Amino acid sequence: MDDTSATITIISRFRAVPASSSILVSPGTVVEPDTPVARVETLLGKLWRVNVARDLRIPPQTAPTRLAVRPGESVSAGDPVAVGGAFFNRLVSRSPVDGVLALVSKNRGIVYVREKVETGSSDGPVEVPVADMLGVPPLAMMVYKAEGAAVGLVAVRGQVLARRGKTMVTAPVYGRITNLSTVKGTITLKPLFRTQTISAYMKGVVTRIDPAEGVEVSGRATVIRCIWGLGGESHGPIRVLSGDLTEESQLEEGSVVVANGTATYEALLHASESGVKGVILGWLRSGVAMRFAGGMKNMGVTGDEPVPFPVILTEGFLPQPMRDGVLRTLTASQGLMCSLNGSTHIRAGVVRPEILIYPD
Amino acid sequence: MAESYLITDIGSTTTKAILIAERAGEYRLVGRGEHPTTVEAPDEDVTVGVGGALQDLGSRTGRGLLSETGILKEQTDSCLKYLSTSSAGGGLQMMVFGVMGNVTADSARKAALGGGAIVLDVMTIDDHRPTFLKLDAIRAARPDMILISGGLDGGNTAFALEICDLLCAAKPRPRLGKSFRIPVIYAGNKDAAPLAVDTLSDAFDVKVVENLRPSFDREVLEPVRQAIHELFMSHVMSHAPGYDKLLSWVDAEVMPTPMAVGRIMHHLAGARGLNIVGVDIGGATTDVFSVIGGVFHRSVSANLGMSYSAGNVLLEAGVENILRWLPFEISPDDLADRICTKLINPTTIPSSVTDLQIEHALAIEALRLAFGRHREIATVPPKGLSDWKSLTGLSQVVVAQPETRTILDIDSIDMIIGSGGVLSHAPRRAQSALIMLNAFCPTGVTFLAVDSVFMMPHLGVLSEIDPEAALNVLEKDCFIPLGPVIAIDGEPPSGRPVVTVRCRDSQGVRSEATVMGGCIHVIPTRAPGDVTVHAEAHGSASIGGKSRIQFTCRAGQVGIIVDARGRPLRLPEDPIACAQASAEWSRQIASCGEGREDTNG
Repeated sequence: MDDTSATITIISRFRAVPASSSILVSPGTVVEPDTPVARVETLLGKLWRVNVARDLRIPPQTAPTRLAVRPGESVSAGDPVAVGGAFFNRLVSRSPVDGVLALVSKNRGIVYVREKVETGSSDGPVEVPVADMLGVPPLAMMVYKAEGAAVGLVAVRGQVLARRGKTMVTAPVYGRITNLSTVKGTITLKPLFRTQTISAYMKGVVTRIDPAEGVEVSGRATVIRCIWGLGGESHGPIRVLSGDLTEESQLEEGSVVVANGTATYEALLHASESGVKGVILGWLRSGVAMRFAGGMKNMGVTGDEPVPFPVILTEGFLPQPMRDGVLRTLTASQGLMCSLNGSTHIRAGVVRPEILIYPD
Repeated sequence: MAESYLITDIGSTTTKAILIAERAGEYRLVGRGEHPTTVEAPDEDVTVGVGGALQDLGSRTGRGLLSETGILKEQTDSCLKYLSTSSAGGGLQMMVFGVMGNVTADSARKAALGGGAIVLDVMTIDDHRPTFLKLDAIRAARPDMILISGGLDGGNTAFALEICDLLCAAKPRPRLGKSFRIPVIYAGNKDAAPLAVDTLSDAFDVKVVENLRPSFDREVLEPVRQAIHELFMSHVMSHAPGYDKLLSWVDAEVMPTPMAVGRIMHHLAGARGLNIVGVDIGGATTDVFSVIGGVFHRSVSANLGMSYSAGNVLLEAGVENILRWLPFEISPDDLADRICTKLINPTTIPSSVTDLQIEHALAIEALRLAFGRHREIATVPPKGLSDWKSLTGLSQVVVAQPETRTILDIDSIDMIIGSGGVLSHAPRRAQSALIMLNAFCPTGVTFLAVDSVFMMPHLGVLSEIDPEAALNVLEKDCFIPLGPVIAIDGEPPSGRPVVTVRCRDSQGVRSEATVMGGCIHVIPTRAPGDVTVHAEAHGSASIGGKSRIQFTCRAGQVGIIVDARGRPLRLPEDPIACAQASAEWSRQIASCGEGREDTNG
């Protein structure tokens, strides 16, 4: 890790936003780490197929000449996307959803409308009582579930999860399917967009806005780059412990805890129960890290783990206390606000976790 | 005037140059040089790195190879021809589309891999991803080239056209060159080809080739591979930073690095009548190549490697499987911590014997997993469906789809070639041999070799214009022969003699050894040249199903390796006994000392 940058420097971080977002700040706006800088209004979601050639009873190749909207234009549910037929026998092909005309097939007589998806407000998993809604025993849910209702797949809001005769169960949120319970007869979805706002992440001033791409925030901070981390972004005042983080450590809610040694799994749970916002350790056993993350698919690419706070290691997985320079910097920063990001990408274009400490 | 060959391989991180010239009536390696690749900023010009590598080579060989205008092709003793391969900037990155995952898309993936590409994604009509996620994935991928396979000839055209529509909607941007139109190879249902061209040609450069899967039981991959090579040159390379200059220097087309490796392996296998498996184990990825019965296959395990991907090997193989190859006791948790430490410090090299042994154990499991995946790629289509259809006289028949068949039978492999730092630069050649022995568990008689300096790409591109020179340098300067492995079948009785091996080297020196069940024994071969070997199994033991064998092969640096541990290889279940067995086998294979000086590389 880099312990040579214990000086305060001017830094910038770019906060990328998805399409259809509203920027909430302007250049010069002073921001704190939790200041919202953008709000996600809608996302472009599922593609709906509209068979214009069939609706208008025309050869497929002539469909592009009958469009009522152009690719890229918005269309509301029920609005015409193509019009044909004679004056007294007008034929209309209509959009099934609110969306954007995304594609016109040159040769198949088909157009696609890309649905605008409202982001969900729920942070937690959503359990859909499929068996109850279909009126079948829990185990029988598997007989009626749709092919796309499998663990790991993404379901769009309104997508059919199960069908029995004319009764359909649809996804209430836009999310990833995380569990199919044959005991309870439920399907659980984890919303993909857990937040409707994007925060500034760091303390500073808005220095640039690109409405299509995002917001740049700049400010003064001491930057400490670390070697490995778990979880995404957080912030809080620094509280330095002596030695290891243990189950007996006195922890302050909302703080970022620094321990120059290590922690057990139980100590991390204790930190979670105490409501800390981040943990910075000298080292941690890889097995403890994996367990706390709830299992991992790739130790070299982290950031999206379902952990209550980011965990950042300054040294690694072998018993090695935090080196003096880093510990000195963190100890001298006791009580100061910091931002931290545990995301780690060990690939070409490496990304390591970082701690940003703001001067008082 | 004689010709010499100056060849570079422009890799992602290093540009490696070699010089091959005629010496005493045959082409041999004269020297090599290297320089960091300069495809990225600040240089953004690959020829800067090429120039650096040539300067390094020139200083080592005492030749001036570079002038201000390019390569000095007129040398005092010869006329230089300049050739190059490239995988800079991540190599050729392709997306592959098909209708059915295990039919057309499977064939398309094989064709792309065989053409030297990194396959970013394989999309099919039946892969259960919603269309909008496919669109997002196509946009995020930024491919250099796209391959569409879809539909058997005479079948429905709608699916192939749906793929074309999807591509038009996604409008993927190329990785290199803003004005560049991404080349699309259409190798699907021939009836849909005109409409596919019509659909795609506004946004893409479309090239139509023969359907790569015209029927269930027929696969035609070569036209696609040729098209990949042509488009790689005409489209992708010409937009990479500095390649316009490089293309004015070369005397033959620049070839994707993996394709060049495939060419030289194919050439070697054809010339010597061998079935070959080659592996290149790197920090992030492991490539496996095979030529079995003249059919070439390549697989890329993008998440198996010795540093960046060490964590994936740990997770995929499981800590217990890595632990079983270690000659000492260590707790699973401690082992996992050490492997993860390598992952987060990917550019470090082992600093202790313990670290080295862990690295070798990790390599065994990475190779074992990569070889298992390769067996899934090295397949041929199911047989008999067309015949059955013609017999029934029905044009539309629904049949249960039989599985494709792997053609990679471990019994049929004659030679295994290892490449990559952990194999090429192991402190002792016997360690490389033991890694390959444990990873592949070859049966019968199999020759082991390692690539001294990863020269195979250079020789692959050379084999296109001078196959004889390429083969000579490959066998005399590139490969380090480790020796033949004689593997005993079944479960040989432990501690009892199971095989007697007699050999005679090129100087007439005879050696003999009787080997006990459960052991590895090495008979050193100290003289260069060929060695003649007789092996006779005792009792019910056998070697590749035979009780006695005789063969002649090149003497290896390790020697004649007799593996009497049995096949399939069974390790003791008790962890302590397993560690003791691993330690004993390491000692047994190393006890011969190194047979001969390293003359290659």
